[in-house]
Amino acid sequence: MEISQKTLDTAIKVLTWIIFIGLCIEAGAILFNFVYSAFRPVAAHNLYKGLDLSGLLENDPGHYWAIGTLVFSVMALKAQVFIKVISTHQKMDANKPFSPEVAAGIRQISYYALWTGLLGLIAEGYLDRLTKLGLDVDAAGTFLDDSKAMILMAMVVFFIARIFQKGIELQTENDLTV
Amino acid sequence: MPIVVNLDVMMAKRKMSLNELADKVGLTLANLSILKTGKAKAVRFSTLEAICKALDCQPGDILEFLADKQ
Repeated sequence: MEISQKTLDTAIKVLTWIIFIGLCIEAGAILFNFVYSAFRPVAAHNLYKGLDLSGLLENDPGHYWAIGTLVFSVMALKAQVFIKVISTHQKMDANKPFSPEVAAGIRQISYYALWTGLLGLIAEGYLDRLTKLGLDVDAAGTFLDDSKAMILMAMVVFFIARIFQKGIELQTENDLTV
Repeated sequence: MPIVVNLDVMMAKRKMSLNELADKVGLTLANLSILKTGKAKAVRFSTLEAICKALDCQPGDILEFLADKQ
Protein backbone atom coordinates (compact mmCIF):
# COMPACT_ATOMS: atom_id res chain seq x y z
CA MET A 1 0.00 0.00 0.00
CA GLU A 2 1.54 3.29 -1.10
CA ILE A 3 1.17 6.19 1.28
CA SER A 4 0.98 9.61 -0.32
CA GLN A 5 3.25 12.43 0.85
CA LYS A 6 0.22 14.41 1.98
CA THR A 7 -1.04 11.54 4.16
CA LEU A 8 2.42 11.13 5.66
CA ASP A 9 2.65 14.88 6.35
CA THR A 10 -0.74 14.85 8.06
CA ALA A 11 0.16 11.77 10.10
CA ILE A 12 3.43 13.39 11.26
CA LYS A 13 1.59 16.60 12.13
CA VAL A 14 -1.03 14.74 14.18
CA LEU A 15 1.60 12.62 15.92
CA THR A 16 3.75 15.59 16.91
CA TRP A 17 0.70 17.44 18.22
CA ILE A 18 -0.34 14.41 20.29
CA ILE A 19 3.17 14.08 21.74
CA PHE A 20 3.36 17.82 22.43
CA ILE A 21 0.00 17.85 24.23
CA GLY A 22 1.02 14.76 26.21
CA LEU A 23 4.28 16.41 27.27
CA CYS A 24 2.42 19.59 28.26
CA ILE A 25 0.01 17.56 30.37
CA GLU A 26 2.90 15.74 32.05
CA ALA A 27 4.84 18.92 32.71
CA GLY A 28 1.72 20.70 33.93
CA ALA A 29 0.76 17.85 36.23
CA ILE A 30 4.26 17.68 37.74
CA LEU A 31 4.36 21.45 38.23
CA PHE A 32 0.91 21.59 39.78
CA ASN A 33 1.55 18.71 42.16
CA PHE A 34 4.94 20.05 43.26
CA VAL A 35 3.45 23.47 43.97
CA TYR A 36 0.42 21.90 45.66
CA SER A 37 2.69 19.81 47.88
CA ALA A 38 4.01 23.09 49.33
CA PHE A 39 0.56 23.64 50.84
CA ARG A 40 -0.47 19.98 51.23
CA PRO A 41 2.62 17.78 51.78
CA VAL A 42 0.43 14.68 51.35
CA ALA A 43 0.51 15.42 47.60
CA ALA A 44 4.19 14.40 47.60
CA HIS A 45 3.06 10.77 47.95
CA ASN A 46 1.87 10.71 44.36
CA LEU A 47 3.33 13.57 42.32
CA TYR A 48 2.77 11.94 38.95
CA LYS A 49 2.34 8.32 37.88
CA GLY A 50 3.01 7.11 41.42
CA LEU A 51 6.18 9.16 42.02
CA ASP A 52 6.56 9.31 45.79
CA LEU A 53 9.04 11.90 47.12
CA SER A 54 7.34 12.39 50.49
CA GLY A 55 10.37 10.95 52.29
CA LEU A 56 12.66 13.43 50.55
CA LEU A 57 10.31 16.33 51.33
CA GLU A 58 10.37 15.34 54.99
CA ASN A 59 14.15 14.82 55.23
CA ASP A 60 15.45 17.55 52.96
CA PRO A 61 13.00 20.01 51.33
CA GLY A 62 15.87 21.75 49.51
CA HIS A 63 16.69 18.62 47.50
CA TYR A 64 12.97 17.99 46.98
CA TRP A 65 12.44 21.40 45.35
CA ALA A 66 15.66 21.05 43.36
CA ILE A 67 14.50 17.73 41.92
CA GLY A 68 11.07 19.19 41.21
CA THR A 69 12.61 22.12 39.36
CA LEU A 70 14.95 19.89 37.35
CA VAL A 71 12.28 17.35 36.39
CA PHE A 72 9.79 20.08 35.42
CA SER A 73 12.46 21.97 33.43
CA VAL A 74 13.44 18.86 31.47
CA MET A 75 9.81 18.09 30.66
CA ALA A 76 9.09 21.69 29.69
CA LEU A 77 12.15 21.72 27.41
CA LYS A 78 10.97 18.49 25.76
CA ALA A 79 7.61 20.14 25.08
CA GLN A 80 9.50 23.13 23.67
CA VAL A 81 11.41 20.84 21.28
CA PHE A 82 8.14 19.46 19.95
CA ILE A 83 6.44 22.84 19.56
CA LYS A 84 9.52 23.95 17.58
CA VAL A 85 9.14 20.85 15.39
CA ILE A 86 5.48 21.74 14.80
CA SER A 87 6.16 25.40 14.02
CA THR A 88 9.08 24.55 11.70
CA HIS A 89 6.97 22.00 9.87
CA GLN A 90 4.25 24.64 9.38
CA LYS A 91 6.74 27.04 7.80
CA MET A 92 7.94 24.44 5.33
CA ASP A 93 6.91 24.87 1.70
CA ALA A 94 7.17 21.61 -0.24
CA ASN A 95 8.03 23.48 -3.47
CA LYS A 96 10.86 25.47 -1.90
CA PRO A 97 11.82 23.66 1.30
CA PHE A 98 15.20 25.34 1.79
CA SER A 99 14.23 28.62 3.41
CA PRO A 100 16.08 30.62 6.10
CA GLU A 101 13.07 30.33 8.45
CA VAL A 102 13.07 26.53 8.28
CA ALA A 103 16.88 26.46 8.67
CA ALA A 104 16.59 28.65 11.78
CA GLY A 105 13.82 26.39 13.12
CA ILE A 106 15.94 23.27 12.64
CA ARG A 107 18.90 24.94 14.39
CA GLN A 108 16.67 25.88 17.31
CA ILE A 109 15.36 22.30 17.55
CA SER A 110 18.94 21.08 17.89
CA TYR A 111 19.73 23.71 20.58
CA TYR A 112 16.62 22.89 22.63
CA ALA A 113 17.29 19.14 22.30
CA LEU A 114 20.90 19.69 23.41
CA TRP A 115 19.84 21.73 26.46
CA THR A 116 17.20 19.11 27.32
CA GLY A 117 19.79 16.35 27.16
CA LEU A 118 22.41 18.27 29.14
CA LEU A 119 19.94 19.29 31.83
CA GLY A 120 18.70 15.70 31.99
CA LEU A 121 22.27 14.44 32.47
CA ILE A 122 22.87 16.99 35.23
CA ALA A 123 19.62 15.93 36.89
CA GLU A 124 20.57 12.24 36.59
CA GLY A 125 23.92 12.93 38.22
CA TYR A 126 22.21 14.87 40.98
CA LEU A 127 19.78 12.00 41.62
CA ASP A 128 22.69 9.52 41.74
CA ARG A 129 24.43 11.72 44.33
CA LEU A 130 21.25 11.90 46.43
CA THR A 131 20.85 8.11 46.25
CA LYS A 132 24.46 7.67 47.45
CA LEU A 133 23.69 10.02 50.34
CA GLY A 134 20.95 7.61 51.31
CA LEU A 135 18.04 9.84 50.33
CA ASP A 136 14.97 8.29 48.76
CA VAL A 137 14.40 9.65 45.26
CA ASP A 138 11.96 6.91 44.25
CA ALA A 139 11.51 6.69 40.49
CA ALA A 140 12.32 10.33 39.67
CA GLY A 141 15.04 9.07 37.31
CA THR A 142 12.43 7.56 34.97
CA PHE A 143 11.52 11.08 33.83
CA LEU A 144 15.12 11.66 32.78
CA ASP A 145 15.86 8.34 31.05
CA ASP A 146 16.21 9.70 27.53
CA SER A 147 18.84 12.41 28.13
CA LYS A 148 21.53 10.68 26.08
CA ALA A 149 19.01 10.07 23.29
CA MET A 150 18.16 13.80 23.28
CA ILE A 151 21.85 14.69 22.98
CA LEU A 152 22.21 12.22 20.10
CA MET A 153 19.13 13.75 18.46
CA ALA A 154 20.60 17.24 18.96
CA MET A 155 23.82 16.23 17.20
CA VAL A 156 21.99 14.60 14.29
CA VAL A 157 19.65 17.59 13.90
CA PHE A 158 22.66 19.93 14.03
CA PHE A 159 24.26 18.06 11.11
CA ILE A 160 20.94 18.24 9.25
CA ALA A 161 20.85 22.01 9.92
CA ARG A 162 24.29 22.37 8.32
CA ILE A 163 23.22 20.38 5.29
CA PHE A 164 20.06 22.50 5.13
CA GLN A 165 22.14 25.67 5.13
CA LYS A 166 24.03 24.35 2.11
CA GLY A 167 20.68 23.47 0.54
CA ILE A 168 19.58 27.10 0.94
CA GLU A 169 22.72 28.31 -0.84
CA LEU A 170 22.14 25.85 -3.69
CA GLN A 171 18.45 26.74 -3.93
CA THR A 172 19.19 30.48 -3.99
CA GLU A 173 21.74 29.94 -6.72
CA ASN A 174 19.24 27.83 -8.64
CA ASP A 175 16.56 30.50 -8.21
CA LEU A 176 18.95 33.06 -9.70
CA THR A 177 19.92 30.83 -12.61
CA VAL A 178 18.00 31.68 -15.79
CA MET B 1 29.69 41.73 -10.53
CA PRO B 2 32.31 41.71 -13.32
CA ILE B 3 29.94 40.18 -15.92
CA VAL B 4 27.55 42.85 -17.18
CA VAL B 5 24.37 41.93 -19.05
CA ASN B 6 23.55 44.40 -21.82
CA LEU B 7 20.18 42.92 -22.66
CA ASP B 8 18.35 46.26 -22.67
CA VAL B 9 20.82 47.63 -25.27
CA MET B 10 20.11 44.75 -27.67
CA MET B 11 16.40 44.90 -26.98
CA ALA B 12 16.38 48.61 -27.86
CA LYS B 13 18.34 47.92 -31.07
CA ARG B 14 15.86 45.24 -32.10
CA LYS B 15 12.95 47.30 -30.81
CA MET B 16 11.71 44.42 -28.71
CA SER B 17 9.91 44.69 -25.38
CA LEU B 18 10.65 42.52 -22.38
CA ASN B 19 7.28 40.76 -22.75
CA GLU B 20 7.95 39.90 -26.39
CA LEU B 21 11.41 38.60 -25.60
CA ALA B 22 10.10 36.54 -22.69
CA ASP B 23 7.50 34.93 -25.00
CA LYS B 24 10.08 34.16 -27.70
CA VAL B 25 12.69 32.81 -25.30
CA GLY B 26 10.25 30.82 -23.16
CA LEU B 27 11.24 32.44 -19.88
CA THR B 28 8.94 34.09 -17.39
CA LEU B 29 9.02 37.86 -17.14
CA ALA B 30 10.38 37.55 -13.62
CA ASN B 31 13.35 35.43 -14.72
CA LEU B 32 14.13 37.71 -17.64
CA SER B 33 14.00 40.71 -15.29
CA ILE B 34 16.49 38.94 -13.02
CA LEU B 35 18.82 38.64 -16.00
CA LYS B 36 18.22 42.16 -17.26
CA THR B 37 18.83 43.79 -13.89
CA GLY B 38 22.09 41.91 -13.36
CA LYS B 39 20.84 39.87 -10.39
CA ALA B 40 21.32 36.51 -12.09
CA LYS B 41 24.04 34.27 -10.68
CA ALA B 42 24.22 32.01 -13.74
CA VAL B 43 22.84 31.63 -17.25
CA ARG B 44 22.16 28.31 -18.93
CA PHE B 45 23.55 27.85 -22.41
CA SER B 46 20.05 26.95 -23.59
CA THR B 47 18.76 30.31 -22.35
CA LEU B 48 21.68 32.18 -23.94
CA GLU B 49 21.04 30.35 -27.21
CA ALA B 50 17.34 31.25 -27.14
CA ILE B 51 18.08 34.92 -26.40
CA CYS B 52 20.68 35.13 -29.18
CA LYS B 53 18.21 33.57 -31.63
CA ALA B 54 15.41 35.93 -30.58
CA LEU B 55 17.63 39.04 -30.77
CA ASP B 56 19.70 37.83 -33.71
CA CYS B 57 22.99 38.56 -31.98
CA GLN B 58 26.09 36.98 -30.50
CA PRO B 59 26.61 36.16 -26.80
CA GLY B 60 29.29 38.86 -26.70
CA ASP B 61 26.66 41.43 -27.67
CA ILE B 62 24.73 40.65 -24.51
CA LEU B 63 27.49 39.75 -22.05
CA GLU B 64 30.42 41.98 -21.23
CA PHE B 65 33.29 41.53 -18.79
CA LEU B 66 34.32 44.53 -16.74
CA ALA B 67 37.21 43.95 -14.34
CA ASP B 68 36.47 45.01 -10.73
CA LYS B 69 37.99 48.41 -9.93
CA GLN B 70 40.49 48.08 -7.08
